[in-house]
Amino acid sequence: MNISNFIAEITNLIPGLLSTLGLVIAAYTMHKSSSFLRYRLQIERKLAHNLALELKKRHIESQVSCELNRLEIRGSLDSDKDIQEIESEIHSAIMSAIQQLVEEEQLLIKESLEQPSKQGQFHYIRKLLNNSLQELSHQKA
Amino acid sequence: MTDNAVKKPRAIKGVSEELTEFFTCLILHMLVPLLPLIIETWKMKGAPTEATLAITASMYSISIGLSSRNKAVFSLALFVGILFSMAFGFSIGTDTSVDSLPSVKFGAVVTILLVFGIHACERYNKHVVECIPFWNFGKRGAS
Repeated sequence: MNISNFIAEITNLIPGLLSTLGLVIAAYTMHKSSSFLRYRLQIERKLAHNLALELKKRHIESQVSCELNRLEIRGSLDSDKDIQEIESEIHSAIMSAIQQLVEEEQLLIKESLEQPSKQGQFHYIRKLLNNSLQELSHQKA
Repeated sequence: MTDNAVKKPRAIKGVSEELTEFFTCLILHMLVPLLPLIIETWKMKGAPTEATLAITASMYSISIGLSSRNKAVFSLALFVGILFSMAFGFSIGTDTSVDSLPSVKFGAVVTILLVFGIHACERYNKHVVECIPFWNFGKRGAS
């Protein structure tokens, strides 16, 4: 075989080889990305479970509900003091639920809770409560 | 529960704000860069050329990889981008009848889909799980 023909054939094969290599690396990255997502969802489920137990322990689950993405307080509130009391109870319930996670998981949750966007912080807390209240309602059912 | 609460009509639940942020990101951040490829496919009335697919896979991997928060995804996507830019360079100077070119086409299409999937997972984590807004116009403390 002529050496120049051999080089030309190899050069023709290179695009296919590079593409295949790129495809393999992309598939590996996809695996990494999806496994991190599964890990994060697992932590969220664990936190929702812990928070549900904390809410039950403090009897808050009967006082608050999450409807149409809005957190609502059931029954009548006599004063601002009552609202502050519920707020502080929810705050301490979230903190206790986070304390039950391992350090690595706590860091991930704290990152979301202390994100720069206030809107994001509020949405995250509401989602945590919503998940926990849903878990409690599933337990009842 | 009071009688008034029972009679109150039930509101239809819409898509949550977190999912809205996620879908906005999918459309504006991840689908718009693929518009040239979609238009070429439409105008050519068939599959785009190997060179177009290779350069799209390269640029898409690099641009999506650069917006990743994960160092591993960032570096791997960058590497994939370099590989496809090399494949693009070789494929434009290659005889179109050779056997390796169909694999360039297949590799580029699957890589574009995988890069889309990789970043969609990451964005789902960011916007739906962590509730970080995609855009926060006119509000203080925007991310």
